[in-house]
Amino acid sequence: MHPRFIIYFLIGLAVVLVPVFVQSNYWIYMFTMVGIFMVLVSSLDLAYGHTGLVSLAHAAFFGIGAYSSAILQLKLAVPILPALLLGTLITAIIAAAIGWPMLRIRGPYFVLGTLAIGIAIEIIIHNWDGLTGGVSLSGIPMFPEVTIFGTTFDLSSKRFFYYLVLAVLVVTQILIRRIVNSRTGRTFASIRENEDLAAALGMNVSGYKLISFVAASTIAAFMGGIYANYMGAIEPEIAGSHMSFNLLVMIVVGGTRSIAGAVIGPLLLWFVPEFLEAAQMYRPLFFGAILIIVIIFMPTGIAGKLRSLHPRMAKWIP
Amino acid sequence: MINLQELNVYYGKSQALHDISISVRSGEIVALIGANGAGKTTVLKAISGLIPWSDGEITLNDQSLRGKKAERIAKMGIAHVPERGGIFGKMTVLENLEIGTVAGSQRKDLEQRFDKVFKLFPRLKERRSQLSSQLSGGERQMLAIGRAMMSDPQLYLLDEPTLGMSPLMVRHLANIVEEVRNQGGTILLVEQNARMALKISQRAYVLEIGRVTRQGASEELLQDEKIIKAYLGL
Repeated sequence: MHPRFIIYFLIGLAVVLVPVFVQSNYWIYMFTMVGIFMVLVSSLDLAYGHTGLVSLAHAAFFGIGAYSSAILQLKLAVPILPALLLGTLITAIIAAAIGWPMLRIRGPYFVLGTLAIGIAIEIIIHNWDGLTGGVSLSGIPMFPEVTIFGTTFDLSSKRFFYYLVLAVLVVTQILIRRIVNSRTGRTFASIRENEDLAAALGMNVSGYKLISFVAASTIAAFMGGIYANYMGAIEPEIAGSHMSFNLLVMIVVGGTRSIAGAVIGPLLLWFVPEFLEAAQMYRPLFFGAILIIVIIFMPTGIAGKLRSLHPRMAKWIP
Repeated sequence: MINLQELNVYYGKSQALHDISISVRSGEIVALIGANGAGKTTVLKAISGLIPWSDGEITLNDQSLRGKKAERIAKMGIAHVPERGGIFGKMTVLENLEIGTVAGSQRKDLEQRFDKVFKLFPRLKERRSQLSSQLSGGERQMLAIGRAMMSDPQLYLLDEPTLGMSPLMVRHLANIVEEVRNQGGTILLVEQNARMALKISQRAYVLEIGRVTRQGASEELLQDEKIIKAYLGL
């Protein structure tokens, strides 16, 4: 076996064994949260990195997914799993309805449009308190205990959620790789590189942009639904433009079109500042400094920079 | 095949094309020559739906292209090969060619289509797995023409295929354009290299500041003193 795959295997094994060796719930929470960010950044990469859609509304769909699923459970007593799937479906429909007109505008106008949507959705969630609980929606049920062959599993435990988020992350990455390496993925790449040329070659540019936008939003929504049950309470800020901006910075810093980039960004910009408590108050400064350094010295992000160091290195950085 | 009738195109308030009437019949190579800024590329972009037009008419086989989007026009059988090829640099040669089938949506005979392109461009076959950003200027142009061939179009719109090429490569590309026609292609060729364009085309139009000022058989235009003086550098 190639040494590269042995290293990947060992990293994978270490990630799987984290809850076995780490006893502190706080640390499991930290790893779970960074996993959630990795899913969000990976899904944003499908729209931004692969298709060239700079969306500042990505967190809005994470938020809509979280709220839809939570409201279905709280107001209509829908069981967790159907609520999660239905919430994701509702978000996909909303993403398509928003994306259809939005994706007809281009460049900075599209970015500003998504920014406006992000702000509007946060305000709507905040003010529609009869439905959304206003400043906070709490009491979202935890996952139940299940007994399989006489063994009881506590699905509300931090450890279960760690594995659940890890599974979602792995499935998301596999799904994105499959899309990217398909004919659809090549169409996304063509649109990213030259939209006019793609249209002149007969590609349905608006249609494919919509597919990418809705697919990315749907993954974020599914993660949002899980996040709602994990946290038990959610706030409108999770859907806000500030959160979307952070996700965009994470992918720019980590590096687009790269698994490593989707891992590095959240680790560096969420995990490290959370870990260094003293740095929390300086987080905006930390964000800004890292972003400036990366834009100047590593325009393809940290993963892109590492890949460019040596042709062999490019093979090692997925 | 394709007919432009009294076409007017505006960029904002500025008029780029004035009452342009051009036709290309099936199996022809028709050249559109003129200086920089004459509006040659604008004609091609208007045909392929990349810029809007309202005055006048464009028809392909008597079917109007008015209001049709670029992707629809491509699917009707018009392949636009833009200036400098416009290849997708981060894709391999093979992936670029495969993308070319989108307009025709043909998947069944993909290998046959690759073979057809590689027969005309053996160099692309050698470099099929290479990133297209690593190709030379001439090879990129071959790739762009090959990609257009993949959709088996009714009409090729070639925008300055020899721009920036060495004399040897210009001759090679001219042979290729003729070969595409021999294989049944119809071509509207935009060129600044008037000599080459007039030599390989059957008819030609001269465009000056958005207006057709001369037209006729290419052989005759090659002998025309004004054309010789203005475009052939003699």
